[in-house]
Amino acid sequence: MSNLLELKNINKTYDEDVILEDISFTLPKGKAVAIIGHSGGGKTTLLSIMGLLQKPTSGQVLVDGQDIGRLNAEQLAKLRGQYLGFVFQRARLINSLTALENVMAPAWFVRNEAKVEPEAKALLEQFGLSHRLYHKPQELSLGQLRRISLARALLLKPAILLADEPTNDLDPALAEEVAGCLLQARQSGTGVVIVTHDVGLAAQADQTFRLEDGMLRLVGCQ
Amino acid sequence: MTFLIWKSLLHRRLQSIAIIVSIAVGVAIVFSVGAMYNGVSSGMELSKQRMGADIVIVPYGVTLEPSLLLFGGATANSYMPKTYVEGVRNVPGVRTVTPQFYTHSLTADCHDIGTQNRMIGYDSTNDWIIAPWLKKVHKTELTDDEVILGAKVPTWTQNKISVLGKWYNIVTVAEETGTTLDYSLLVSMNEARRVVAKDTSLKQVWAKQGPPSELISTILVQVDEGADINAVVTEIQNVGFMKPIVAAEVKKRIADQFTVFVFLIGGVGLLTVVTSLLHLFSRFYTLTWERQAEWGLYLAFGATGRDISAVIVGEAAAVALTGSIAGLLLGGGLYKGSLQLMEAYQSFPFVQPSWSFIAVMALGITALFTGLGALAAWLPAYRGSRIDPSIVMTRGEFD
Repeated sequence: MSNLLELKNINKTYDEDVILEDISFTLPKGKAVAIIGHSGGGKTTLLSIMGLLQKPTSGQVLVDGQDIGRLNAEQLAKLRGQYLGFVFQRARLINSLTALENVMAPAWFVRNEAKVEPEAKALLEQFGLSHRLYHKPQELSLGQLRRISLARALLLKPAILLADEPTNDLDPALAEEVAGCLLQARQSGTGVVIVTHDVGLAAQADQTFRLEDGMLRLVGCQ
Repeated sequence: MTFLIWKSLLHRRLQSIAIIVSIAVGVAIVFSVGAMYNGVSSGMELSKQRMGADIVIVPYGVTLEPSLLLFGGATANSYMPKTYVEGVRNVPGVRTVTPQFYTHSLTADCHDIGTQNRMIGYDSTNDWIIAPWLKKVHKTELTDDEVILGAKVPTWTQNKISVLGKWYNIVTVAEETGTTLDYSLLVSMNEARRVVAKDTSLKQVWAKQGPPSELISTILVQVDEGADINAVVTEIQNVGFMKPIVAAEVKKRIADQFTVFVFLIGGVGLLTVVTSLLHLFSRFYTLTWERQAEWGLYLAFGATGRDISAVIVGEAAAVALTGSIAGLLLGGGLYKGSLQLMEAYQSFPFVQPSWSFIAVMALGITALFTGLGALAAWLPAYRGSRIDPSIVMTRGEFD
């Protein structure tokens, strides 16, 4: 089984604060990994490094076997567009755009957005939002925003899906629904990393890690 | 990306409109002042080239602004004895003189031209003032039923015109001068005098001076090369009750006045545009900070720093371009209004700028201000392109 994402001996420090210490991690195809840990423990930093949004202080990050250490900002951007999908802690929708346009936004910078419109509509329909295609984020509920955010992350069928607290602030039913959508992505070979406080969600992942004192420990496996 | 720019501008439409309006106002002022400046400069240059009078003599007591007489050629129903012409001709230093006789064409006759035009009686045998403006001079002397029209005198027929109930044959139409000569009717001296004699409302004006056949309104003088113009003026004043006006001084004064006008109004326009551009800079500088999370989001999607710069510069350029185009439309209206005002007050000689000049100026202004708008966003764009993409993970809600 090939690894989509691999971290080798990652360290991250801010000034003299050690945030991550000697972290090694692999994400295989079609698997979901949950990372739990208390607030301020470095989960978001770790996810940023996995998402190529920042570089580690030391260590190696490989995406589909490619070492990103020597890539410049432009090459990293290209790699992000090619491999990664993000579900952010807050929905992170652009208020000037409709729900449909928000879902199509990732395609603006990597391919012809006109061609993805049918796929975007299909995703929104799949998430029960076909009647909200042309609504602005301000006109939608929190649950709807989260589902749009998820549809956006899945639009380009990313090999790696990174989700930061995807069920935060959601009621149990909605949290269950969002979790279901996320984990369903595995079926098409997408590797999913979920950073969460939600123990129930973490339990549905193939592997669960705990990030504590900057170190990552495997705490559960299915 | 164009779509993203469009959506973002619409989302912040009030801010966008405010900047567009302020750029438009500045561009409108700059455009209209530029067009006016060109028109007046051409008019003054043409007047200098063709109006060879060094001294303009009007009857003593005429209170009209000399520039109006010289460039505007304001209607002045004031008269002095024609014997002054010979007296002035004999003044040492005077090379040549030509008299003119003024009246106007106000009438209620339904066949008449509908506006009040100056009627100038001129002596075609020794004239050098009117002749340079005639396209085809095929007569040396006008008969009493012949008229030469100024370039902008309205007519309904090609060959004839009715003035004060009398039909005149149109000999030719003069070239555009940018002065009220364009609105004047040029007739023989005799005919102008006959018109004044018939007009009872003017009787009180000429009665004190004698019959119109013995009067003139102005004497235009050319002096010898190297002659002391002030000494000539003093000598002229000894000939009779006349008011000599030195043309060079008037021309200089009016040129100075116009330059001040251009600097003041044009300066206000430029300041408005500069203020708008600073406003644009400040807006995009602030927005870049406020929209860091949004840029971070685009970077997470795979956008490069260059893409972010293009969005920021594109938004600024779109605002500046829209402002410039709106400003040109507004400036066209302002220019027309100013032109009407200038014609009403006849304050400066004016020649309509060519369409090619207007087109080049409009394109130049559009390119300049759009470019400056884009330049104003350069620093914000540079900052935007260097934003740390991980900011999308940590920043608050989007604007």
